[in-house]
Order: sequence, then structure tokens, then C-alpha cells
Amino acid sequence: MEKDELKDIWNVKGSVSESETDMEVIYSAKSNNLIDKILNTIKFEQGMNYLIIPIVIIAFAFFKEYVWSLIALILGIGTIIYYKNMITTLSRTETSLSVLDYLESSYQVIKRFRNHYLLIGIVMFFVGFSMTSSIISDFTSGNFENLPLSLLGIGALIILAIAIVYGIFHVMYGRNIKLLRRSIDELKNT
Amino acid sequence: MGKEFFEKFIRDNQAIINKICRAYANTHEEFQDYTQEVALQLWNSHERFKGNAQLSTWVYRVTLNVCLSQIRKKKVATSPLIDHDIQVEEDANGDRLASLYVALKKLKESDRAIILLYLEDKSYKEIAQILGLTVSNVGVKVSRIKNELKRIIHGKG
Repeated sequence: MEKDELKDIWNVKGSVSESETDMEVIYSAKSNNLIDKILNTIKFEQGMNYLIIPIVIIAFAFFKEYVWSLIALILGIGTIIYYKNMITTLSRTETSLSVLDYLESSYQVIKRFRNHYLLIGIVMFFVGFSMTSSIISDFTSGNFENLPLSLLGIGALIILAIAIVYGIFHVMYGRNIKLLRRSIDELKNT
Repeated sequence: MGKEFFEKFIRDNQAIINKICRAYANTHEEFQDYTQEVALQLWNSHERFKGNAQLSTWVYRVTLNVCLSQIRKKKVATSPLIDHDIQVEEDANGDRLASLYVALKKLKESDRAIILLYLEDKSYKEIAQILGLTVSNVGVKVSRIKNELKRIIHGKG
């Protein structure tokens, strides 16, 4: 490759001082990388799953709610498998991938993370709703008089839950997801 | 790779890491964050490095990936990094290099990655391998970005 003006400028001797990275800091440092931060959040949530799910199962069994205990067991196993898969997928995104692959992978991770929170938001909403709403007792007692209104209310609350999750996500990761998408598009286009 | 070997490896590649991080960082704090994160990512992934790529390719990939995806503080567009840790020679060459850095920061972030590798004397094939692009695509882009960079440096951009 021919030498040119730009390379001549770039290769000025001592162009950037040899300020060295303190390696002792590195060995004990926490990553500030986007994917690592997301991975740590998911791992923390998985830790909480291991703690909370058995407590819920045992609590139901203690109060002789065996059917609910079984449901909690099945849902708990499903949740743990879901988290395990998520952690495995996120761990595959390494900074040693080619730049385009890494950016694509990071973008997909953030999108997956957003969907994950959307799912959790909706599940949490239903759990909270079923604990506080009279709709379930109306169902079980065969009282369908107020059902259309209740369903409308649920619909409105689901939309609100989705909007809140998206809003929070946008504040936390909106800029990064936009930058990643832009870099991917720019690299792909000539 | 033991700690001792890794520390030597980082020392050997520190100049490359510093040059690239400087082209992306807007403040001294960002520069430090980036260089530290690069070293950390290299340390975390060094055991998985299989040697199927050159060591330098691995360093460039990790450094660019960190710089392009790092969670940034509020961006101050094109503001030059002025700090005692990053000094250029106090002469005409130093001024020209400082101008080059200012011009680099006016480029799109992805274009910056391509031209930085070109300036580092990487072949089109190596640039393609590091970035995950085709060789022909790299050739077209390098030519366009070089012209854009010269235009900016000579005050026409």
C-alpha cells in the first residue's frame, strides 16, 4: 500500500504518549461494556429466581395449596430454563468477533433484552392484577355482569404497562440502540 | 497467557490501543474508560483466543468493538481531546497530527474505524477481516473516506 500524506501525519513518532494501563486495576475492574452490564443484570435476576421460586413453592405447600404449588413449580422451572438460555446466548457475544458481527450481535442482544423486560412487565402486571382484582372472584362466582368493562380496563392497563416498559428502556438504552443500528447500516452501505 | 506475559502484551500494544481510543474519546475520562475497558476485554477473552487470527487482528477488533459500543457520556461532538496524558509533539508535525484527530472526529464512527485501520497500514484484506466486510467494499470506502478526510483537513469540509 502506497505511503500517503495522511499516513505520514499519522505515523509521527511519539504521537500519543505511552500512558500505560494500570494492570492491577484491570484485574479487579468491573466491565463497563454494554453486553457485560446486561449479562450481569440477567445473572442477578437468575440468582433471585433461585432464591424466590423455592420460597413460593414451599409457601403454597405450607398453606396446603398444592395445585398452586405445582403451578409455581412448573412456571419456576420454565423461568429458570428461559434465563439459562438467555445467559448462554448473551455469553456468546464476545468483543473478539469481527466489528460488524459484534455490532449486529449487540443490537440483537439489546432487542432481546427489551422483549425480555416487556415479557416480565406483562407477567408482573398480571400477577399484581390477579392479586388485587375482583375479576377472578367474579369469574369463579359466575358473575359476568361487569366483565366487558373489566376486560376494557385490563386492555388499557396492558397498553400502559407496555408503554412504561418501552419508556424506561428508551431512557436506559435508546441512545445506544440507535448508535448501534446507525453504525451497522453505515458499515454495510458503501 | 500468564499475567506477566499479558502485561508485556498490553505494553507492546498500548500505543495502538491509545491511538484508536483517542480517535473515539471526547474527554480524558472517556479515553481512560476506553483504554481500561479494552485491556479488561482482552484479559477476559485471552483464554478463548485460539490463534486462528493474528494477535494484532484480535487487538484491533476488541479495541474498535469497545470504542463503537461503549456506553458513552453525553457526546460533545468533534471537541478535541486536550489532556496532559495525550501529548503530541510541540512542532508542526504535532499540529498536523492534532488537526488529523480533529478531522477524524468529524467522520462517521464506522468510517473512522475503516480509516484508522488504513492509517495503521493494514491491507484491505486485513481491514475486511477485522471489520467483517468484503475486500472490495473496503477498497471503495477507503478511497471515499480518504478524500473526505483530506477535504476536512484542508478546510473544505
